Amino acid sequence: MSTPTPSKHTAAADAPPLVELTAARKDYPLGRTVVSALRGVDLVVRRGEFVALAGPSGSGKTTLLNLVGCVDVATAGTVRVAGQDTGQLSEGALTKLRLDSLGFIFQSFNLIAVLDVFQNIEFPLLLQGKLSKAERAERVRAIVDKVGLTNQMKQRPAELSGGQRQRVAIARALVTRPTLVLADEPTANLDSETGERIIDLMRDLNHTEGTTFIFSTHDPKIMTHADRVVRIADGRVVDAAGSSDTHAHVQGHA
Amino acid sequence: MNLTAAGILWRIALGNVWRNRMKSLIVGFILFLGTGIIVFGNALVDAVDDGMTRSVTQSVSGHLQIYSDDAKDKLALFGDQFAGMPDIGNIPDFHGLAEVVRKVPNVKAVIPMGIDFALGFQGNEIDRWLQRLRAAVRAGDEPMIAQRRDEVRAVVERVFNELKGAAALVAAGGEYAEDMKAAERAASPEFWAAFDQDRLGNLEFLENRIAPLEQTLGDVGLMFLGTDLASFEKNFDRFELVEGSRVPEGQRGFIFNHGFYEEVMKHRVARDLDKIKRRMEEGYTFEADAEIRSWRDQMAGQYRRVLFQLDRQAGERIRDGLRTLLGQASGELPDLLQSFLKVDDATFAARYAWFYENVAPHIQLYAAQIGDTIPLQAYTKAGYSKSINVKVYGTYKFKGLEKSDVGKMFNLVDMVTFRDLYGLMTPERRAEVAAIRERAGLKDVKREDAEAALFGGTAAVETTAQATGFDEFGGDGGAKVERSQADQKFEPTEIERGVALNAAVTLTDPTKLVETRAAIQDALKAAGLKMRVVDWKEAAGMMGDLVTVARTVLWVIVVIMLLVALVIINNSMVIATMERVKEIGTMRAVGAQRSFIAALFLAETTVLGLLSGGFGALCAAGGIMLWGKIGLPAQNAFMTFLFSGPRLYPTITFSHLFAAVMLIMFFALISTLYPAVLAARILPRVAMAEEG
Repeated sequence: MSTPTPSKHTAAADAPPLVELTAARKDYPLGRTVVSALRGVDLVVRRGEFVALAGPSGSGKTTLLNLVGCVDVATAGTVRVAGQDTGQLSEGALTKLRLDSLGFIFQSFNLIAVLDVFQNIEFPLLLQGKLSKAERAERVRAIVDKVGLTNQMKQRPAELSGGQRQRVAIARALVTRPTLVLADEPTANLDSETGERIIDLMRDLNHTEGTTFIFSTHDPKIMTHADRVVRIADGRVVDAAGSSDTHAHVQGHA
Repeated sequence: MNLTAAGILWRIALGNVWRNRMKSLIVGFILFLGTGIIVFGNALVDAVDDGMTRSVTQSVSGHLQIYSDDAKDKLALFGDQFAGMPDIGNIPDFHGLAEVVRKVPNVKAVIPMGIDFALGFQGNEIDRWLQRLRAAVRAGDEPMIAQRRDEVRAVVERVFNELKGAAALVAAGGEYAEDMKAAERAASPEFWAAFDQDRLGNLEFLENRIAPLEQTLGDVGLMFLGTDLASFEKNFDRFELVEGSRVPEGQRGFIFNHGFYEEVMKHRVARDLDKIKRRMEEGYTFEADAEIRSWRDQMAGQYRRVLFQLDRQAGERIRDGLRTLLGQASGELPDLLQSFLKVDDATFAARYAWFYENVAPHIQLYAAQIGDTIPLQAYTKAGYSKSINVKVYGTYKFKGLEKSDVGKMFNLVDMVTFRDLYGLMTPERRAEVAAIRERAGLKDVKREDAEAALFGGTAAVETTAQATGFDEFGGDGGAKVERSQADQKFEPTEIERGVALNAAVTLTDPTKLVETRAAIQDALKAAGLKMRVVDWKEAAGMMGDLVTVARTVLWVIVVIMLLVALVIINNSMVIATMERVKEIGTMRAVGAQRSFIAALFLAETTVLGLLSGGFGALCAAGGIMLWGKIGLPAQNAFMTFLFSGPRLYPTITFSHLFAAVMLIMFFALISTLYPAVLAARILPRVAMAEEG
């Protein structure tokens, strides 16, 4: 069900900015010293973009995703997501923002072990509590069809392959129809073929649903699928408009 | 949190309980055990409470007790462990009080009571023989005199032989030598040849010089409860007459407690045999148990108590029987009896039976037989001793409490005799005594005044005694009046019209105890009677506190156990939290609020608590139901009292189970609070890759 090589779809340059980082800093206290994970990042991601974050380990990719994903707030500077300044939001409001506007795909899938495929995907809808049971079922079934897991609905995560699990995670991330999906090394735990297929699926959803994707990766082959590659090194964006065709300047070590 | 989220919360909780089976098993087992112990403990304490309630309320106390508000001490029916019998004052006019109390709704009966202590005389074996001889001499019945004389002679000879044996061991001299001389004379054929020449003189010699040589059996202390015997029997359904008959209405009379009668009044050797038999029935043997051997040796040392009671004929028959039984061709009775009583595991059963078949019929098996008139001596409130003869009509027991000490505590006596022994008199009786005193003449009165002054100090005592209604009329003068007391009748109304120490109140509906107590209190107050009304638990003194103590101990154990459980549950939950950081972070990242995470942990504990607590409660309930069928045997007398019978049959109620599960749930949730808060604090970013 992977789509053929996607046409170079680039979000319109005049599309409104969905993510806007201005001089974003993130410092972590480490013992008596302070580690700066991000040292002033300026970045804009517009609606509909399919952006890869590249950079070696420790470069700040995950920290950047954390700030954009509203699971962390900047020490200095501003982070605006879906028009909201995350630094001004309460813990509860951030959670609500994540629930309603964001989707997450994790490196190690992070499914809820005791729930089956259907329940895992339904989980964010249940937290939202907006849809009726029938509406939820319909929404879940539609997304399950899209990720190709129609026959695995009643299975538990432990009974699925890595690729299947990541599809469940993708379905879970997309089921609430978020404006932005963040994927933290989504292919790192998968073999390259499966990884390719997962990225194809994400790309396909980017096209058909218009969902914005930001994903971090080490894998140059995966980067080729992105509209744009944002390269990070030492907590700074070194290239915010990198072409996906060129290989990364800084090779990560996986 | 919305309803749909709550749904998935329970599903995840249930799933996690199953997924973390090891943790669930450990925590679940603690909750299971905790619930079981609470259910079991409560059912047990409730059953004991119930048993004790029955033991106490249906034997002596009734549901409520009334006593004077002027009491120096608190009423303690079963005595105070430290201070003996408490001074509880008295109810001057029982009838007046009863009339008031009986009008209160829910009151079934009001029974007068008074507990006191008296000495009963066990008497002396030689004295008994001499009494029979004296009776025959008095009656002038020659053949009987001859028979009785021979009997006395046989006993005196035995006493002399015994003394000779002792004298060989102890260097004779002084008073002992005098005794030996007297015994030698009494045992000599010359003395008996000349006996008939001065029967009374010789009897006096035997009574004064020989009888005291026999080791005295001593006096026996007995507790007695004076009451309206008919009403007592009617209202305390634990009461059951064992032997003899009821005390006829309007008669003085004494009813022995059957257990007391068997264990105190019975012939020492028979009593020891019974005691050994009971212990052997409990599984002890002479070979293994030092105590039972020590009892046996003490018993064998008491052979004289058998020996001195046997007349010549019986002595010979028993001697011959023992020779056959023991396989000894010769041997005299004292030695034979001693070796007979040296029982062991092999011989006990046969000799026990032989004793009751061949020896018991020839000895006086009880110090006081049913039908005898016994003297009771008590110290009256005025401080002098008073002796009253009262007829023994029978023995009674409290059903189910036969083996408990409390069940054996009280002997019963009629209220009128009680008043005399306690030194309390009705106005009528006081007038009667005054009349007798007048008839006795000035000389006697003067002598009594002197005695009263002697015993009590000054005339002030008399004044006080008069004013409080105490009978100050004691000593020898009293004995004159009371010689025929045992047969003296009284009007049934006299039972009520007079003094009592306390009053037992039984209720139609015992569950309304608190209300009825208040109503009685009000009624007494309205009638101008200054009385205390206490429930049976208070009235039972230290006994009444037992259940409270037991319950406290149970709860202390439960609380300690729960605290330990709290620590264990808390720890294992904290560990579980640490293991699930990623999953919790993911839920948070996906959009679950902190409250959802905290609720998830509480839900997991709730699921686990309900499952294991419910299971624990059901198992305990099953155990109790089974136990309730079989019954828990009482190991000793005290347990018999607590259990209100030889076995405890605990019952289970739904409230037991519900309360236990609720309590365990509460504790489990408390234990989960900290881990839940900890989990709720987990940051959503931990779900992401572990990269800076």
